[in-house]
Amino acid sequence: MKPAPFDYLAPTTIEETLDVLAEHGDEAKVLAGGQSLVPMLNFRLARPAVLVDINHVAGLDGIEVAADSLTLGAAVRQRALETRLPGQLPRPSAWGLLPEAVGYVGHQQIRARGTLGGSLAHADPAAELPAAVTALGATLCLRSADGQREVGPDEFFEGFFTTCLAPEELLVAIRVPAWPAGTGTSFLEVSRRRGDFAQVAVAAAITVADGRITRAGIALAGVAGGTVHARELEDGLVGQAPAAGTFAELAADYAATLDPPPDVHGPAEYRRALAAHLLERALTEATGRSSAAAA
Amino acid sequence: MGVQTIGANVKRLEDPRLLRGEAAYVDDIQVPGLRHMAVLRSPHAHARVLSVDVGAARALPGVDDAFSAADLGAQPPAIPALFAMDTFHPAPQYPLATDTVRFVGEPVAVVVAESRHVAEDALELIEVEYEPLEAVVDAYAAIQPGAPVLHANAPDNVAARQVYQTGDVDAAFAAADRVIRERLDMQRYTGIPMETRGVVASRDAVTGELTVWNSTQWPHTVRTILAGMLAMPARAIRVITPDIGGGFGVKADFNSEDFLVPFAAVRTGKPVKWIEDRNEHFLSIAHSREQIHEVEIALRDDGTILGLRARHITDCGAYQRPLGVINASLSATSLGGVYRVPNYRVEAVCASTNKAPASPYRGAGAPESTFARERLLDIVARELGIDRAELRRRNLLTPEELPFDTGLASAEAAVVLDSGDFPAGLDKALEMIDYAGFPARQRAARDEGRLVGLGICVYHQITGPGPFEGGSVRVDPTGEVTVVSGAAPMGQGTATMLAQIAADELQVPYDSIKLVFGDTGRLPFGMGTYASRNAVMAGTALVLAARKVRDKAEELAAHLLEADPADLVLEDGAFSVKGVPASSVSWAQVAAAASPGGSRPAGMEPDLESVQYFENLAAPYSYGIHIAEVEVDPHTGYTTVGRYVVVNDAGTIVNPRNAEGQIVGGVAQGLGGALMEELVYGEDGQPQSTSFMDYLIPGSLDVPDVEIGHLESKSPLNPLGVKGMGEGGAIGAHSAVANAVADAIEHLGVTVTRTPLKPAAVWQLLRSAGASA
Amino acid sequence: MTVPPTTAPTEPTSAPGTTGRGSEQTMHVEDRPAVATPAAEKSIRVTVNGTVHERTVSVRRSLVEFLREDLGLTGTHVGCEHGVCGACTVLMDGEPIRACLMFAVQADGAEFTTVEGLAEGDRLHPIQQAFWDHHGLQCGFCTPGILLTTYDFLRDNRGADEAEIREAVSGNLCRCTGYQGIVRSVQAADETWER
Repeated sequence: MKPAPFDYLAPTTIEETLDVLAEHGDEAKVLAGGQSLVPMLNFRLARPAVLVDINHVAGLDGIEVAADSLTLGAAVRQRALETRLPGQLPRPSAWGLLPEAVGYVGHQQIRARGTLGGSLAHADPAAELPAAVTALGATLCLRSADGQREVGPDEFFEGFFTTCLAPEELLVAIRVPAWPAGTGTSFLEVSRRRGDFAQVAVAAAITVADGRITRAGIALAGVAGGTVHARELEDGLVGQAPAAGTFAELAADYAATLDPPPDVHGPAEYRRALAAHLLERALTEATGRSSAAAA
Repeated sequence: MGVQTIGANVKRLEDPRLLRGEAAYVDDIQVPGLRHMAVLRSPHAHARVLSVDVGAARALPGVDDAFSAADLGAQPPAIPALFAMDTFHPAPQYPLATDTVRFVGEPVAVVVAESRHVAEDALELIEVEYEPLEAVVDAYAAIQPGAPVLHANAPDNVAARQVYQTGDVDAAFAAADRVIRERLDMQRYTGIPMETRGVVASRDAVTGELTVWNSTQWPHTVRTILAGMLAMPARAIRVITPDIGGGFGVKADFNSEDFLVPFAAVRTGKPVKWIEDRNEHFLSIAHSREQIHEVEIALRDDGTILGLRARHITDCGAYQRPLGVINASLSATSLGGVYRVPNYRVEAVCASTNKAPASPYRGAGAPESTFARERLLDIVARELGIDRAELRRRNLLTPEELPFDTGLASAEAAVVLDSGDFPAGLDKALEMIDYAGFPARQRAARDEGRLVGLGICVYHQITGPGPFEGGSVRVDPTGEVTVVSGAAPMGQGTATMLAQIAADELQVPYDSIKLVFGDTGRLPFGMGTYASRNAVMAGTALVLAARKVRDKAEELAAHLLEADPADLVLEDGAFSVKGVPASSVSWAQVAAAASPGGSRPAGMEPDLESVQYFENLAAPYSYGIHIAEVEVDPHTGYTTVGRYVVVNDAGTIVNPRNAEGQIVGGVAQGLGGALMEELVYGEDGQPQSTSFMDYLIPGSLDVPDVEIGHLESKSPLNPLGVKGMGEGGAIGAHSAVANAVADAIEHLGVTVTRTPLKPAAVWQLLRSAGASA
Repeated sequence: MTVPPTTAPTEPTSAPGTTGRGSEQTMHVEDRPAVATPAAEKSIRVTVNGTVHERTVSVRRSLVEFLREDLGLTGTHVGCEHGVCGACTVLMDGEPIRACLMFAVQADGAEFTTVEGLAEGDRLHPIQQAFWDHHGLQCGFCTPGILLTTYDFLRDNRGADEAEIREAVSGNLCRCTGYQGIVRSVQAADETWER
């Protein structure tokens, strides 16, 4: 389990990084926290010719809290989302979904190195952070030597370990919009053991105003080849009054549309059942918190 | 007062080095000029090997050598099987596949290079031409007509078969009020120590002696096998077991690399290291446990057992390595447990499949048979309407019936239960868990929609089988005591345990004794550490040696004190004349006198050392009772183990805290087996559990606190009265937890017949009962 | 998260084995070549248990290989090389990390504590002593990683209950103890470690 040979570069500025990526293209791989990439290198499942270490790049680890958005540098450590971010957030805040979700990512030793952007760019279908940013409707800021573009999660996550990132592009920041007052969130997960990848995880942000759901952001991990944005469920929720029966029915109906891949841990129908169960609980929890948030 | 450390919770001698990071595991061994080996493994479960070309690998800069089976000689040496059955068709594994590969991970070629990195680079340059063959991965399917054949000498894929019986089982079944049958399956899982395997070999250019450091539990056996395979005299090979990072039985095996590393060192003339990586570990470490049990029990209406009739199909994987039949043999002879089973017949079938070879793991057949029996007893209790504890109590052998000769003999020893009080153990465990109060607890939980269950398991285990173990005791002229043992422990605290035994025999502080293990250069014969044998075998060998030394020292002390040996007493490190404490000599004085040139009685040989071998074929049996309380989440199928009680009886306990550590650690492994762990293969023979992400061992949040009660029925088979106990936790926990899960859900109309009860499996059972949410 | 102050210079700033002070050796951004070329080897400078080491390493050498083989600190163990078991846990700039999931080149400029850095001479660290006193280990292979995880946890927490302790060590697998002795040991160290 030793990586195949590669050459190594550690640029210190974003511009230098983009130049390097432009030069090496497909041959290069960006190394952020390395908590997923290095195992893949060790198993020789990934074998880039050039490893571009962005850990020394200035300006990628900022946390900026503004009234209308939270902007996180792509290299913000997961541990910082867990320990530093909560103290900087207004309360209540839908952004609290991020620290909630990140607590399920691996273990402390993993989160100490793992980065937000690394997790997103890796696009593991069972990963928590892609689901969280999808539910929150975040914007992903991509840069290349030729310019920059901003994409939403639906465009960014293309499926099984794939994103819309071009070889010469770098994910530099994630901007999460503010949600209205009256928004509650929930992140729930079932994994075989603490810290394991999700069997199923559900991220939910739900706004309730005047007794009706006015906005919902819901995403799931572990139920398909990629992160799943539960648009149909969101549409079904908007306009409804929070009620246990409604949640159970909508969750079950939505879960029935999922087609999770079976694996050593269980068959597809098991994951569908977990999805229904977690969705129902997450809807209940998020709307319960939303009423607290509205107060 | 005297030194009395047996039974005391003294602190472990092993720990300071381990805590400081100063231990020397095999990967910590450094030899100047060391080269590194990597192994090319079969990606196919079953295939003809048409050609292997290592030329390009050899040409890579930094590579010293690359070779395949063709380089092992015209008649490559095979790994020998050490045990057989009545019907036995050896299916030996060659260190490198010759013309056929039979499991994914089977070694095909190796590279020796300046670094492991370069060696792995070179593996990619080896060209192998395979012709894939149809694979068979299910043991039941493998022994059906028409299944793909692994070995030509066993066209039915039955590598070994034996019937074990006593009484007249067919008559018992004919006369029974009730006969209950079940098929009960245990999955493939195994030890998975935190330290993988590893071997370093270096040949001395001057003496020609080959020194091998191997993370093995039986260095002497490795030396013997190596001598045969390398065609070298055993005296030219020294095998050393350094610190071991866990073994659990799977390091008492002989795998390809145990040969390939020394062979490569001889072939290249350079020292060579190979450390198994975790991926290799999952592919080719000894797998274990996988058995299909077709069991029938004959009963009277009152629950009295009249007979057991069973067929065990053990999935032995692709080859029979040294202990290939042991799981099957021990399983087939232990199905009756410590119950009165007058009529008994178990047919053990060893099936070959295209999976990694199987070999013993902690419990070695006992977890398997215990699961078959204890699960069946719960099913019987339910069907007969008898309380499961009462059913067990009615059939347990009583102390008056012991020793009890079952009339059976495994490949290791005759099954004679030497001592114990099984009903007392059961009652003690029931009291600890408040069994009487459980029905109310269960009812209350069910009223809240919660699924809780309690599971009982009564297990026994063979411990300390022979044929022998060696130990030496020497006292230097400084009075310092060195003990050399044939044991090769892997974390149990054996140094402390043996030091306690020696301390009491020699009346010196236990922490003044130096222990030496696992070195064929220090003790000519040894067996090693497996089958819970350190206390029984190594401990007794040490007692014999210590007493020889003490007797001689006493004679010498009498000479020095001009007293009668019968008037001497050894206490606190000195021999003194009874009633005259001022008249005494210390160990140092005696040992100095014993040294050549010292003052000895006429005719007494110099030196104060004894090497003794405890030869013993009768093995003591320890036993225990495990009771688990669990809760099952009806939505997710997850099982949480709540309270967990163990009553353990392993005779004299030398160090209670170490013993409890063995129990708790074993419970974690048995729990893992019941709920989490499985080596999964696809139908094509591709392994699917090849990393810690898909083979789950319990973490700190998955295991309960274990409450332990002790009984102490001393074994009559050795001077200390000890029995082994290292495996018991793993044996009892698997079935206690499985029975508890069953108890939580079987009222819904399902029956638990297989493990692991991983969440998805429990959820499927609940769904089949219409009870899942 | 603190970003290490510099990347490694392309040439060694001093001969391997010398022990200059960090401040003298710090490279400034403007000293660095504008366009870097990928390299298969690099010089690094790391502080381990208070000692500064400078070495040239292959870029595919993992941090744990570097600690064990280049520096001879074999107390840190390799258990899986894919970041799950925790046997290779060390403290990097005070935080526990997996040393199998970093390359040695990435460690340039960082400070590490390994198990060899816990005891003070003959005196075991109170955490080590507690593990000895309360049977917190058997084979010892996972132990160094657990000690360092515990060090970080107890440094920041006092009076943790059993559930919190089990959570804290959940990223370190142990196959021998069933964790009970580990939990007892951490509880005891919480009492005895003056901090």
